[in-house]
Amino acid sequence: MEELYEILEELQPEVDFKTATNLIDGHLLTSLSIISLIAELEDAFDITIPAVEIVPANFNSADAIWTLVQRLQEED
Amino acid sequence: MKNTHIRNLLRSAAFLLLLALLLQGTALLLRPRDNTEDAGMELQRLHGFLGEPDDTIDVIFLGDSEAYSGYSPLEMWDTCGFTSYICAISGCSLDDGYAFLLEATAHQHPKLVVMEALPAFRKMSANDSLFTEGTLFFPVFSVHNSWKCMTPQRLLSPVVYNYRQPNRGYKPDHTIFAQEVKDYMKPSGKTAEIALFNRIYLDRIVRYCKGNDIPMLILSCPSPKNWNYAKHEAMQAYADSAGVSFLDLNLALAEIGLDGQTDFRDEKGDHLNHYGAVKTSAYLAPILAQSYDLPDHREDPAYESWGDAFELYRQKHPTTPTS
Amino acid sequence: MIASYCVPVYFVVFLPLVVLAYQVVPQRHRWKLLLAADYAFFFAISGKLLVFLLLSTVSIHHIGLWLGTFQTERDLAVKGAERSERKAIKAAYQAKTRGVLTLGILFHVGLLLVLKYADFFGGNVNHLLTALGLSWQIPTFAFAMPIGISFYTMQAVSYLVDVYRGTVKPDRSLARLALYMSFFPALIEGPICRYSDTADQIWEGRPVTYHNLTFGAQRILYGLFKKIVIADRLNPLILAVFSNPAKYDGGVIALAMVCYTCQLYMEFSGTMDVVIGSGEIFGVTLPENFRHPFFSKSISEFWTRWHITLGTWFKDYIFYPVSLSAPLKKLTANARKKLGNHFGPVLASGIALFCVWFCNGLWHGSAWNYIFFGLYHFVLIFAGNFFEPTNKWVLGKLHIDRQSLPWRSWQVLRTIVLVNFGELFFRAPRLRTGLSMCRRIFTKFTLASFRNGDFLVSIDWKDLFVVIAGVLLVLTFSILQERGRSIRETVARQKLPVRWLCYYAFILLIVIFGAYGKAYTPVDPIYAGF
Repeated sequence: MEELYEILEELQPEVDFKTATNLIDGHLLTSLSIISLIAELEDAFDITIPAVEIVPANFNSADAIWTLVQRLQEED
Repeated sequence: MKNTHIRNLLRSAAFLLLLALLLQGTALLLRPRDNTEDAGMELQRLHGFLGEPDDTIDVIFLGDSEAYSGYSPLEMWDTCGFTSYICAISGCSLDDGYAFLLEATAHQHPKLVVMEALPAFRKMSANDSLFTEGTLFFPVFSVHNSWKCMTPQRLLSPVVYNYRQPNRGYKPDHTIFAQEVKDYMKPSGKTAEIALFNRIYLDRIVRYCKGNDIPMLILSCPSPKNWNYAKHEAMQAYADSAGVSFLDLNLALAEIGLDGQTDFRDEKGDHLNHYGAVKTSAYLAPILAQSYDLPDHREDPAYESWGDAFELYRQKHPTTPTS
Repeated sequence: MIASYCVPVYFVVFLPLVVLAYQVVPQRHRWKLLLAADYAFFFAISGKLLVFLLLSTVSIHHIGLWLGTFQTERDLAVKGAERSERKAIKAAYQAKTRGVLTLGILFHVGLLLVLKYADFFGGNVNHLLTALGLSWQIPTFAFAMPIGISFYTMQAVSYLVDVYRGTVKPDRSLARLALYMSFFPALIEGPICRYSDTADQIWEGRPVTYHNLTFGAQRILYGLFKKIVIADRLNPLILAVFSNPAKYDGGVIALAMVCYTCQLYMEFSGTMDVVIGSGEIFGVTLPENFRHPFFSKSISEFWTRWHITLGTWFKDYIFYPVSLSAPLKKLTANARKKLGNHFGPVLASGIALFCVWFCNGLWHGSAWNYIFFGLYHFVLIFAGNFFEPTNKWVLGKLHIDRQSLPWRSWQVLRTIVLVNFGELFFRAPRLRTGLSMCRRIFTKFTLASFRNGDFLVSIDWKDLFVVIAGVLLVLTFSILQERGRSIRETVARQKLPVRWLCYYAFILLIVIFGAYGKAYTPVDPIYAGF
């Protein structure tokens, strides 16, 4: 989880990821930063994130992203 | 549940009723106070008939650009002494024609209604017809645009139609487009088709005239571009079935004396010019006068204005081109 | 028949009749009535081309089920297999389903390409052949296009991809898919719906409630106001200037550009109000297509507020799949190592962005000015991404607060200006005309026409006054909505006389100030042509 926060903060330092729950719906994460984020996540956690998983529900908060990462790790 | 249902239904009905009243009120408010464009009247040339005294027009022509280019009421006045008015707009469809007929007969009791044949073959739009029907019930839809011309003064003044159209709806055009007119009226064995929707409107026009005891004539103006024998056949068949007369001037080019070199104003003989209209009107007037027993008002002092209008008209629009 | 929702045949006759019949018919039969209405509507506009819609519907039904059988087989196989074999089984089935999906997409996109673009491609190939000095030419075809094909093809593809991805279960009911593909309010101009959003809603046949009926009718009225009072009234000026731009100075061309952007927004978003309002009456919530786009602070934000369903379609089915494809992922990784955390992903995603905007331009029509329109936005958005850090750095140095009102206003203004130039190319009859108009704005700019009144081309100052008043009204509503206020709820809370007064005033505004009737030439809807 800490690793995830680090990645997120490096990506967009001005957003408070610990509390934000509308990263996508509130346009805090743009499609470009999502691409960077996915690259980082795949690197750091050794997973593959398919396009189908890119829905607001999976990226709206740090918790949601963390759940997604854990799920994909298990599936592998 | 049942109660709210009924209450909602009643409420909706009340809403619509009040809306209808409001629309009629707005129409009264926005009615153009004169029959000029300046006062907000649309189609000024056509609506010139509103300025004619009640019950003074013997023949009403309904139609499109063929009609306002090809028939000249003052020319016919000079020949036979009956009065007529051309209620025509370019691209006229039959629903327009029907609406103009209703409007024109509100204050006139014509002895003859002449309907130009070409609109019978013009594609009609469900939307435009619906709109025209709407204007018959709610005139506000056709006068709404006069807000542009409304002044507080006008708003308070009564409706008086003062404008008399100098040519009685005819639109003289002196342009000459010289061309060879081929024989375009050879029987081909083919028959054109009058679409169902058009037929319905033709029937309405015929029924209206019959109901008001006005004889009706379908007339086809010479136009090599737009007319042919197939259309003639179709129109003749319709006229026979509906029990109205049909006169095809396209079959009488020689008798009228029309000449491709001098009498058309645009390509392929689309429309007659003024000189073509002079000949056509002179040919047409006696036929109408005799067949429908039209009166001659030329000696009647009540119709003096027609004589005056003719004098002006002749000065501006001589029968032959001035070089 | 004009293919438009803003004509009396639709909102006075067709819609009320369907609503009435819909309400009378028992709920379990309502889908039949809607489907009949859909197909009657389609037939009235495109006649026998209805075959194409039927073909597309049957094919997504079939391909969906085909994908479904593979998926069930796979799940069974995976269940019965050893853990170590599972990956291989999954991969084998993925190859199969991918093949089927490709077939399905190729069929739909191919049909669209042939019907919509055959003429354009053929023509350009011939230009090329001539330019190369070759004397032979290929035959070109121009087909009659079924109405709404650009929209329902997008819906068909999204359904297939969703089934493939497993986010949507393949639908066994052909009827439900047919309804999803042809819901008449959304048939001509979208919004582009997703199966998971609308299919069930339309299928259910929910009863028409008094609330939905009145709210839907109000939304329709608002749309008619935008279209008939504002958009149509501007048309004569736009038509005159765009068809003969050489006659006018730069000032007038700039005015025509602004007027066109305004017209396009009022007309398209107004039509969407009519469409969504119609859906609302049947209890169907269609996705919103506009969210006050002119409050956007950047071009990329603009496209999340303008024609939203097209933007999200491209994002979900082109941008992410392309940028997350294996080769691009590799490229991103490499680029990040060499160019750093910012420029690496920017360059790599630039490729996906390019695909999106090329397709977006081409989707609007088979002409170079549309492709230019797409690429223009690509360049703006790409440059925006690229210079983001530079931008931040400069602002930091200048001590400009990014949240301050003057800075935000500047951003909004800048976005509006950029959008206007984009729409200039969108409207220009040809790319070359667009370029020369653009040049005239800068080289022949003068305010002289505004001083002597020549800027009123084919309209008068009264028209202009009505348009400005109308725009101000829409702006007021937009600001209120942007702040989370619902105009309709607010009105509904008033006492009956006040409420009715509002409705009557609005209806009379449309009736009196609408640009319709013999004095106006009817305007064909812009988006129905796409």
